[in-house]
Amino acid sequence: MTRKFLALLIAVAMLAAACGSDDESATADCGTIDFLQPIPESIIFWPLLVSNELGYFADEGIEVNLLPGGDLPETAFVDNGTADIASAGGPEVLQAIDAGADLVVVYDYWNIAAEGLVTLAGAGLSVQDLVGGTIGLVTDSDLATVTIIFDQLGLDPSSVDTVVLGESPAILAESLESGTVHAVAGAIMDFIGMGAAGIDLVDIAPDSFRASPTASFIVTPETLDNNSDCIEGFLRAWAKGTYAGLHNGDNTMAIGRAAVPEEWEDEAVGVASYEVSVAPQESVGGKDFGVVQTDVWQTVANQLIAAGELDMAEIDVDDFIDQSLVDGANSWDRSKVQVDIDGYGS
Amino acid sequence: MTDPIATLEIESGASTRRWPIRVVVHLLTFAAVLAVWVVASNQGWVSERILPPPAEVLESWWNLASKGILADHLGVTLWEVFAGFVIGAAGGFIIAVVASFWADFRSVVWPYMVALQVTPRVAIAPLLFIWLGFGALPKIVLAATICFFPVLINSLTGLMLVDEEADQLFRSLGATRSQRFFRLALPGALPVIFAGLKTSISLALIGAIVGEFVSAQEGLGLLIQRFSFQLNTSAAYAVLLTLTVIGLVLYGLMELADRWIVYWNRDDRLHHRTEHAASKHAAALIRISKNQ
Repeated sequence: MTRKFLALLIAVAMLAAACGSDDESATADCGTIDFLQPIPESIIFWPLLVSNELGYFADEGIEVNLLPGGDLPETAFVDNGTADIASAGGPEVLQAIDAGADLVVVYDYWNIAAEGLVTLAGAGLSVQDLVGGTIGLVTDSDLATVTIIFDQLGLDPSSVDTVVLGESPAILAESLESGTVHAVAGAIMDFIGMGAAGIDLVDIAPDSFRASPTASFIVTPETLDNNSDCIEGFLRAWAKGTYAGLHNGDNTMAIGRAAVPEEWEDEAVGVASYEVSVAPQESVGGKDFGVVQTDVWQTVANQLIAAGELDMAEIDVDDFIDQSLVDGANSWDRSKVQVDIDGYGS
Repeated sequence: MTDPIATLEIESGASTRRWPIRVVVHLLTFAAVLAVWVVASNQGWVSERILPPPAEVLESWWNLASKGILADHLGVTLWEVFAGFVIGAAGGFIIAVVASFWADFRSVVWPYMVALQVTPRVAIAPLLFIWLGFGALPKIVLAATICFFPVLINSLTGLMLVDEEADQLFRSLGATRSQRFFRLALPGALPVIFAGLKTSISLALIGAIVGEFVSAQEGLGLLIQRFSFQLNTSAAYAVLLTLTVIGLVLYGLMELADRWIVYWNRDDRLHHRTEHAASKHAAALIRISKNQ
């Protein structure tokens, strides 16, 4: 209900914005690319920091203007031309396409589900043990996480009570430790602070749930047609930054400390934020960075259709996935990047 | 038209109390609140994750301040607050002036003003970003829309409450419309307008922070979010403390401006001016004020 209301509001807003503005298309020259990601500058998305610091964006003739999306719908800002390229989660992209947005997925860079279902490590609970219990949700949209996990395990999602706890890790921790809830469903970023504060958590979501297009780059078809060289340059710089961060964690964290000092006010949180984002950014199966996993996308789409989250009866993900830029995004010398990141600060 | 707070203070005898006693009472109250906070933390009545001890909060505040983190983000938030306040307050005042002159305009515009006021600004915040893009602008507009209404309603109320007899006197003396506005209506309305401005400046701060919660790269609202997500509660409280102090300072500045500009509404200021800087213009305004 909330989502539909929000979608309606956004549709009206987009219509108004489209009527009231000159047609400045999403197409950017290679001077500035407006890039929207869901969080402000952070070590969690280190490629942006690293590629800025090591000059990879500049090498491509690109200046990145970061638009921190927060809870705003990234897909809407790409669709209305505010952002040239954005990072968005698979379900959000699918819902936007379901609502009629014209978007293209060009690159996957976070290949493990950012959502999880966590319990206290000492509780020894499995998903099956949660039947009849209570699951806390960070936001109401995390109900989809619970539904999908229960469906995958053949359990009835209505066999558990759910309660929205909000985004405060303090409340989440207190709720878990007091036994108010037996597990919490949310994004792994919601749990970083708890982990760094010494609260041992374990993600009990099944492996089948973890394969997920959690963060993908989306553009409009017009941008892809008119500005593909710049978008490819952006992706290439991003891939270099990703590799640099995987290759040399210490120097990557040093870049993060310098760029976003407030994120490192508690050193343990900064380190935990880096560490938690390593595995999701590794290339799948050692292939190129950014390869879009069409099979995973199709699985997620089918799950959302089955859960009633999409109105479409069926969807073919090949209709909105375009991998033509991935090869070019990976055309660079890895040894050179190693030298760059190893030499940082020296 | 008198300041209700000042009236309450006079009635309760607070303003007649000697200032050292008042300072001591305030300090004791503050110390009592602090003591309850310390005891609550030490005794574990409230989890430190929810309410960290004051010493930890102060330590975090010092860390953030000494590293320059607070100052960097403070400037961004203050800019949004001031810009939003100036736009919102000016807009509210101008519409109130026009509405006080023209009843037709008032009847047409008023429903939209009320509609704007009753619309939850938190709900339209994401839409402002879609309409206006990112950066400071949507936060400034959000702050402006939130602080607009108190100035509008107070200004209009003040401007509409012109003393009929004084107005008749001005008319009988051949005063022009602008003279009646600047010499009679506006001075009479200023105490009420300032009450609205004091409310508005606090609301502008809230508006800017709400905007930063939605989307920001810099600002104190962003810092609170970051530290909350990191479970660095003491740092989040330190930023909150900073915001509280800023709110108090902004309110205090408006209070000072109120005392300075609407001097005829405060006995001490009035006496001070009549004794030391009595001019023909001031005397005229005082007479008008007394007539009310």
